[in-house]
Amino acid sequence: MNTTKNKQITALILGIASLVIPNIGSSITNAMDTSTNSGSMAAGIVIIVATLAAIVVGIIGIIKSAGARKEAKEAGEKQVLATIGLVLSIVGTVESAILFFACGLCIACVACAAASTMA
Amino acid sequence: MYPFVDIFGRTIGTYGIMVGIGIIVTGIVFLLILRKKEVYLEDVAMTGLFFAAGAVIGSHIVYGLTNTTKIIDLFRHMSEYSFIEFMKLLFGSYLGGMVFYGGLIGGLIALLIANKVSQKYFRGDVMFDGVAIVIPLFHTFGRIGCFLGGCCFGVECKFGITIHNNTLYPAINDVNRLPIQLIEAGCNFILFWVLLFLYKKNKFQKRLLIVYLFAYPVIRFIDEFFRGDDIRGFLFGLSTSQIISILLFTFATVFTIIDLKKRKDTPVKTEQA
Repeated sequence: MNTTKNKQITALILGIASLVIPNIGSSITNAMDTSTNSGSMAAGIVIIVATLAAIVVGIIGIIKSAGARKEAKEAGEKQVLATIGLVLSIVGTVESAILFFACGLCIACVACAAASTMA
Repeated sequence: MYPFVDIFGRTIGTYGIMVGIGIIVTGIVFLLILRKKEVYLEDVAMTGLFFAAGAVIGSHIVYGLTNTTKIIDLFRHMSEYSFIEFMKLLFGSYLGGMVFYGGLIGGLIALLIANKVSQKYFRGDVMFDGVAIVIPLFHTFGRIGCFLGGCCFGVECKFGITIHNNTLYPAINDVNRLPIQLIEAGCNFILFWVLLFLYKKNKFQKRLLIVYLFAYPVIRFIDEFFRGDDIRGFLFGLSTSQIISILLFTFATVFTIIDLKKRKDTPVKTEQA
């Protein structure tokens, strides 16, 4: 009986989610009107939230899939799903971290825009 | 040089791309080095996660230390700033940057804690040697990223590279500068091969991290004299990184002396027993 199957599937879903979330974020941003100050601020916030969420999901994915792989190995079961989940989580986390830090300027711009709006 | 590139319609910083490539390559090399010692993909991933967590915290703290007076001033005149301005200055400017040495120390402390708490994923006795080998490899990619982004630039000199139209660091434009980032990347790459060679020859087993802590501070100490940026803070005529280099070198020396003394004492004790 495959005792770690559910954990492996959870790990896989988290891995896929960590890859998909930032792409959803950038798709939404592309569809937004960024010609105005408020538009670009909203787009910046969407990207920041999406990449941060993906980093969190990716980290949880890495932890879950690493655990699932270890358990499956100990139980003598196949670890295919957990391995795919682990690789996707790593790629998703790295991609999101790059996007998050590469958008450092955007974050600064959002902060400046927010400061000037509230002032 | 090329601070940004367009990939699939997205503008992404080249520094981030190089760091991303560095993480993947470092992970693969780490796995290949330790594959014979029952270290698996999940162990590598979790080790990376532990190290990254410590590195992010450590690098920001050390960057904050270089701005201590500014942070104290900010807290003294807190009432003069709005909440957003205060947060922007504190987290955006004074704690916003990252220092390599802070990341290195933070990451190593995180691994030490992981090793002490549970050796489920990170087993220090086997994996610290691997960590010592891949740190300079990752740093090589990081420094190439610095060169492409334009940060951590070198001093003005007759020979060197002139960069035009860098929007991130306008100070480097149209000035002939020493490509110190590439020189440090080269030194790190050589150090990686030296450590790998020592590992393959079974030299300095479980002590490769100390070898790294002897070699890199020397490289960095010399390298700092040829850097043209002055954003890292200076104390007693030396940069923060040079002071940390001296501290790390001293730590490695003290550790080695104690270690040698222990090794010398051990056979005597055995004989007495």
